[in-house]
Amino acid sequence: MTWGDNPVSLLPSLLSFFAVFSFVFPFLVPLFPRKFFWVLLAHLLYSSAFLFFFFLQEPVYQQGISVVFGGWGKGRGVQILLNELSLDFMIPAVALFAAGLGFSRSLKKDWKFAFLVDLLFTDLLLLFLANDLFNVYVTMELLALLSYLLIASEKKNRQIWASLKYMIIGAVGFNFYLIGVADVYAATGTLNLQLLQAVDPAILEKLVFPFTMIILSFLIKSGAFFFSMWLPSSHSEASGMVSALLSGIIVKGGIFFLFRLWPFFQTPVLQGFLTAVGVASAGFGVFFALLQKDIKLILAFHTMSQVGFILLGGPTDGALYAMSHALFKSLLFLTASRAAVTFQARHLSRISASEKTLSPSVTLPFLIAFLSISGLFFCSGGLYKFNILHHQPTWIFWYLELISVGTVVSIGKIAMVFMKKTRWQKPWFPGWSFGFLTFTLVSHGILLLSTQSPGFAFALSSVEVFFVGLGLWFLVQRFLGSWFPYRLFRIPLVLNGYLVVLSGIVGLFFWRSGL
Amino acid sequence: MERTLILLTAFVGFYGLIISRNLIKKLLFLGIFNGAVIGFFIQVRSFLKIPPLYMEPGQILHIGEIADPLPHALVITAVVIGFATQSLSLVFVMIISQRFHTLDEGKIEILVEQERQDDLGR
Repeated sequence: MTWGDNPVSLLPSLLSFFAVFSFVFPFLVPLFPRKFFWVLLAHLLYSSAFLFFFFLQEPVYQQGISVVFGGWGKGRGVQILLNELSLDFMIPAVALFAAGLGFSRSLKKDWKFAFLVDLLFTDLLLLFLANDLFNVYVTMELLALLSYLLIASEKKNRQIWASLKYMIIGAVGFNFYLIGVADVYAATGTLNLQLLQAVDPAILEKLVFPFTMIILSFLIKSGAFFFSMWLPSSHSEASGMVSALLSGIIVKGGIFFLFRLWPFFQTPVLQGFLTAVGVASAGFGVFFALLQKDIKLILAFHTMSQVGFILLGGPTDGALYAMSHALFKSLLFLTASRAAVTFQARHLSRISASEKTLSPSVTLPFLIAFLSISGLFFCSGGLYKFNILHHQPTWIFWYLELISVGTVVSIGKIAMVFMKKTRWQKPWFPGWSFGFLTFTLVSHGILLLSTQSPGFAFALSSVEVFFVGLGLWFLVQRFLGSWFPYRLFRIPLVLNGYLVVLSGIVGLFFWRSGL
Repeated sequence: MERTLILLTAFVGFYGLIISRNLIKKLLFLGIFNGAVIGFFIQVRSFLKIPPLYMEPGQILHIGEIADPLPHALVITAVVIGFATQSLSLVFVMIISQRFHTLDEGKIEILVEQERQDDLGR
């Protein structure tokens, strides 16, 4: 068969080849312990080439490209599905991996760290292709295990403790998932998402409890406030590149599957629950970020807040915003980590008092990422954030506008200190990893402006929010203290909280059913 | 009846995870919770009369009841992953106990926060 004969039928074969052969690369790393950097580079080029090819294929944006391995049929086999939602998450994963190759010294010198990161990258790509509840479990748990190891990779006390807390809470979360999946399978007889969508809606409507358990398990992994209380310590204590990966793309695993399973969460109780989680996460994330002076803890709480925006956006606007968030959040963490190494401090007062200075090659990328997270019109994420806000009910719109102002205030704290401590002379060029992410953020923003033509109202509102935030920062900066309520993030309190939430949801369901 | 007992066991494991302060006990209760969830999964689909996945043409089935194999595949994965997580947790608990000389979760939380404050203050 030549390429010209019905090329569309080759797409599933190419997808299977891409998925299966990806696993070869991580296992080449220990075989070439001195040349492993080239293995990682080869893996990056391999993934980029395939993704670029699939990006140009029309079927991806229609029904998607799906493969069931082994010829078992959807009911029994493992299915992977590449559609537009998958691409929205795979593209930033590849971009972050590329940036990480340029940033991390550990990735260039330590083959064991490189092996873990490469395996994480492979697992992420497969995770964003999973289309049955079994595959979801396997890829998510592998992602979690690799995360635990990467968080504790420098073997510091706080890293090991943060990883252990994450492990215990994550293990509870995925036991909830198994309970939910068992009930779903008992009621419907299938684990395949496409077959589940064809099940009688009357049966699916009765599965509120199992779907609640599944939602809970993904919220625990996704970084939502109250459910992912392991996040602030894990993301702040991990090394620079690991923090960037955690906030940038690893938390997107849980979010991706919430969006993949979104058609099953259309009952009023579940939709209300997800909206409430989004609203709470957006607000509390910014509230706690305003109270911190540890730069990485500020960014970690902002991850929680931005996850709230993403959940409120849903699988359309939210998925696109998640793609931009992956880029600007990872750039924020990478530059903040570089600054922390320069100043040998993470506390803003210590950084201000330090005699050392920062290079513009770090400050400028940080500022671009700051403008992106603030939602400015010429940066990636601005238009998507605008769409999320304008598709909400009025009270949520104004609430999110307030949260956006809070975002500018809290990250503005860091930006002002960095600008004061910058020595505005060479080197200006930010280097490969910062430069690549900065260029992507700005060029993506400008591309969206030119192709979508969102209108003057969008530009004006983004600028308004930014300058209101900056103005507020000047007014309140002296009143902002430093308070990390670590007792709120202890394991017993967190697990008690899950019991309360579960009881509440189940009780609400039975009350609405009239039982 | 079996489902009730399994869910009760899961609740005991979960509740023990909340109330126990000793990290080793927490991991033991996590193991109980994990085991109960696996038992729940097996119990849900183990006793249905379904045909095997694969039969030769013309083959006559002599066995009366077949357990659904798909949940078992998921359960095997869950057991392996649970084992890996428990092993890694135990290693981390060992390191934590050597460094902080305690297994009390509350005391470790306070010591870790003090260490963080000291580092930030330097």
